[in-house]
Amino acid sequence: MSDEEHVKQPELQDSTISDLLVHLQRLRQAVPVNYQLKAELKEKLLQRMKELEMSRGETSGKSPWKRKKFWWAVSGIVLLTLSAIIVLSVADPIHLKQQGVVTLPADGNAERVDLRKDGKAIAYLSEQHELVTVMLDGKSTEQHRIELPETDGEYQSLAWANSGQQLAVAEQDGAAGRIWLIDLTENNRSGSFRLLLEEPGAKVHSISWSADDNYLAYTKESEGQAELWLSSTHSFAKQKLADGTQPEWAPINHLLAYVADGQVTVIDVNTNRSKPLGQGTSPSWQTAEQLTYLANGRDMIAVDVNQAAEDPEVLPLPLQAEQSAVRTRWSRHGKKLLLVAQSGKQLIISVATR
Amino acid sequence: MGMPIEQSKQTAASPPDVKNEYYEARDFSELYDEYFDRVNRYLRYRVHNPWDADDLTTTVFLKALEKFDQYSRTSPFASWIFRIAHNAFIDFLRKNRELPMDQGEMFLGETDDTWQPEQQALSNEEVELLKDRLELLTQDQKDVLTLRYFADLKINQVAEVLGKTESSVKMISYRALQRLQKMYKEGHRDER
Repeated sequence: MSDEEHVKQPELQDSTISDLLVHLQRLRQAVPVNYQLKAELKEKLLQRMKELEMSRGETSGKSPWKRKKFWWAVSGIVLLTLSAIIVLSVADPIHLKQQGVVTLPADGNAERVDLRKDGKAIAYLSEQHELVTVMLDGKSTEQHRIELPETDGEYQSLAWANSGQQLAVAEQDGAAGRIWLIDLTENNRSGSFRLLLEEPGAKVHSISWSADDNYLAYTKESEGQAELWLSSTHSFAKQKLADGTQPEWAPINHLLAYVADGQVTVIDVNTNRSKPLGQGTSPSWQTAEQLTYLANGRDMIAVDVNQAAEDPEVLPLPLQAEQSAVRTRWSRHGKKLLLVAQSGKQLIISVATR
Repeated sequence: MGMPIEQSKQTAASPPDVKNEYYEARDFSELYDEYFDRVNRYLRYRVHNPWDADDLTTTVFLKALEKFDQYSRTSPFASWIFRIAHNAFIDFLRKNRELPMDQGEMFLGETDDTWQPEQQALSNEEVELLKDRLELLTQDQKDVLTLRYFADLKINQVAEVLGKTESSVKMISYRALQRLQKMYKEGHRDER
């Protein structure tokens, strides 16, 4: 397997929408403009302007200047508490780097937070239709809040693109699930958004970007059935991949880890050949070959997907006694690990290293 | 699509204390020169009868001139003029029963030399087909697509004209394009 390999999904290469937009542009050009009217009306308007000036007795064409200012208040709930960097010298292979970077209510979905692939920022969904990005730059934890599309739905999960310049956000509006793409500006200060897909009658969540950011994998749930779907990030093209949930795209494009019937499984999206690895949840790729997943609330399993999983490595997680891990996400090259742990009525978001 | 660049000049007419904020400094005559084509094209597409569309275009600009001193120069002129144009179109629909669409009359029968030569860029059949398909969309979908692609407005401007949120406009646009795409793939003209 090499980095040059790409997803071979002919069904997802859809040019219909670009053709459609070209046709709309051409149709627009096919609507004629009446330039004769344009000239005649201008004469009439100029005449009318003179009459108006005379009737008003005014000589100045300046309109009064009204200045508008919009002050955006930042809501007062402070969820961020940065603790000191703790370096543990015990034999534990995973060390906490920043504990409790963010604390969220435990009833919130653990998929509401994600680590940027370079490990230098996290993003999470706040309660009030906001996306919050938190920089993890040394001692600084600078935050930026970006308003999400104003809808009646609830935002439930997000995923940061490999480029770090886009985020996918899943929204549930009654029976309809949607995925929005947000283009971030420099320093994550603001973003524009577009609707990528809408699934009437289904819930969508657990989003993962392909290595080249051209595709999304996501979970679509309807009538109690959870399915893995792939969608182009450039067109409406999409297709079902398998039954399961929690997709996690490998750093090379064609491998995808997911969970089906409690089994962490790896599937080659080009051939649809799959390989179960073991019981667990929250798969995440530490490297192109090394996959980790949660075996329980305290330990993580690391396996080399190219090797027989006879003797997987067990990695105890640096958790306090009352904490139980519910989600993990590696940054690129496995340098940092986002660790989401439940503690009573809170989700504690921490960053660890190995 | 060649989206016109919105003016954001800092000219002598701009208040000196305003920086990095939108300010439209042009006078009505200059704005008319720029926006006539877009308004006329939008109304000609929506109204179908070109004479009615031209009458409406005249009404829109006369009304705009009368109200020009109410235009806040800190918001794009495009949103302002198209709100007038769209409202004029809605009033027209209320007052008049729309005439049956005549594709030939609208797009293809025109021989006036002053009209744009690129009107032949799309074949007659393609024009009719796409027009038929657009007519199968809902009123909301037609409003959004025509303001977006015929009036050349940005999403936030379409939202302002229609009094909707940006996300609502994006959802309507998404569903409209998806429906058109489905029609393209299925190749039929009479779905409703």
